[in-house]
Amino acid sequence: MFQTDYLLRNLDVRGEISNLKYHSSGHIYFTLKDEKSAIKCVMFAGDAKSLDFKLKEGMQVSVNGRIDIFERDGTYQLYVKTAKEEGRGDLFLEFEKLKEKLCDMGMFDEAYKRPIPAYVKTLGVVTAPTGAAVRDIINVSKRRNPGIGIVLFPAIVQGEDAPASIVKGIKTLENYGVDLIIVGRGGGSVEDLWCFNSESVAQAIFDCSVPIISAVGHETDFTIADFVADKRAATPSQAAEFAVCDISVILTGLGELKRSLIKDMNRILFEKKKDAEFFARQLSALSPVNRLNEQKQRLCNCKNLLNRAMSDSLKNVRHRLEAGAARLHGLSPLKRLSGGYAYVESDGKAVKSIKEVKEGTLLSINVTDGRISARVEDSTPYKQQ
Amino acid sequence: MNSMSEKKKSVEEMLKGLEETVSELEKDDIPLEQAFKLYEEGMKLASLCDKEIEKVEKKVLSISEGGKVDEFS
Repeated sequence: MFQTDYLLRNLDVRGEISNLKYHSSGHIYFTLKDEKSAIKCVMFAGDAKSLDFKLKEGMQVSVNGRIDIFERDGTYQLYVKTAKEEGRGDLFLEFEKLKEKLCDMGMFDEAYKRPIPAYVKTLGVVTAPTGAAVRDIINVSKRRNPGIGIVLFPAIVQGEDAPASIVKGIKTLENYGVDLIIVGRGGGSVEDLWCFNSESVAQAIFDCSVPIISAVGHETDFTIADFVADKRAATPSQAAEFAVCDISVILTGLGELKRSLIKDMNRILFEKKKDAEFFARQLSALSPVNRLNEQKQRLCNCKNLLNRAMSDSLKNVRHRLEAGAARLHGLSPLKRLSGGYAYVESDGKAVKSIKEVKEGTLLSINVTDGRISARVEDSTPYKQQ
Repeated sequence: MNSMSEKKKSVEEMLKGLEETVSELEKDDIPLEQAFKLYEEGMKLASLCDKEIEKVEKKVLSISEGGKVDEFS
C-alpha cells in the first residue's frame, strides 16, 4: 500500500534527532521528532556512506526518503536516503543556555564541591524504586559494605513531574540525615533524562548540605545535574562505588594500625628496658661493694705478706739454732778426751778429789774410744806449794 | 564537652587520629609515660572505630515525602 503511494515514496521530513544509534552494520537508527510528533527512521549503510556529517542526538535535520512498513514489528518507518543539517536542536539550545547561566552563577565552581566522605554509614538514594539503577546501587553498595545503611527516596525520574519529585527527594533525605546522596537514573533517551537538566534540580543539588553524586544514564550522557553535583558518576553502579568504601580495605587498614601500635609499644618497652639495664650496670660499677671488695683484696694480700714474712723469720731462727747447736756440739766433753785426757767416774759420779776414793774403789776411766775399769791402789794429795 | 566531641568523631577522623598516634609512637626518644598514654589512646580509638563500623547487614529503607520510613524490598 505504502509502496504504491507516490507521495510517500519521496518525502521530506524535518525534525530533531533522538534515540540515535549507529549500528555496527553501518545502518543508522533514530527518531525524528518535533513538539507534537515523532517517527522512527532508518538510514541504511549504503546511504549513510554519502553523509558528509555525523548525526548527533538533538540535532535538527531535514531528511529525504520513503515511508514503508517494517514487517518484523508491524510498524511503519521512514527509510532515509539523504539528510541535511538544519542547525542545532531546540532542546540542545535550551541545555546550552541553562548550562551557561548556571556556570555564570558559579554553580559549577570547584570551590563549592564538597568532598565525598571516605566512610559513609548511611547512604541516601534518589531514583526510581524499580529498574536496574536502584538494584545496581544497592547491589554494589552491599557488596562493598554489608553494614551500609541505605535510605531510598522513590522518585519519579521521567516526565513532567520528575524535577519536583527529585527536588523533594533531595530535601527529604537531607532532613532525614544521610552522609551522602546519590541522585540518578538508568539510561534512556535525551528526553527521558531531561529532568536532570532542569534548573530546579540543579538548584536543589547546589543548595543541599549533604554531598551529592550524580549518576544519570550512561557514560556518554552529560546533564546539568552532573555539572552541579559534587561528583559525577558515569553510571549508577559507579556512583555506588564512589559512595561506599570497600569495608575490607578499611578493616585491613585498621588491623594494620592496631598491629603497629602494639609493635611500637613493644619496641619502646624493649628500648627502655635496655636503657635501664645499661644504667643498672653503670650504677653497679660505681657501687661501694666494689670498694669493699677491693679493700678485702688488699687485706688478703697484706695477710699473705705477713704470713710469708713470719715464716721466713722462723726459718731464719731455726737456721741459726741449728748453727748454734753445731757449734755447741764442738764443745762436748767427749771431744776433749782425744787429747789424752780421761774422765773418771765411780758409782756413776765424776771423781773430782782423792777424798772420794779409798784403796780398792772401783773406778771407771772414759777415754775417746771406750771405758777402762781399774781399782785404786793408793792416793796422794798434791803437795801445796 | 571534650568527650562529647570525641563520641561524635567519624570513622575517617578516628582512622586519621589513629594514624597520627602511630606515627607519634614511632618517634625516637619518646618518654615512656607519653608512649603508654599514646598506646592507650590508640587502642581505645581502634576499638571505637571498630565499633563504629557496624558489620551487621542492614535493610534498605524507603522514605516517603512525608518522612515515613519503610523497609524497601
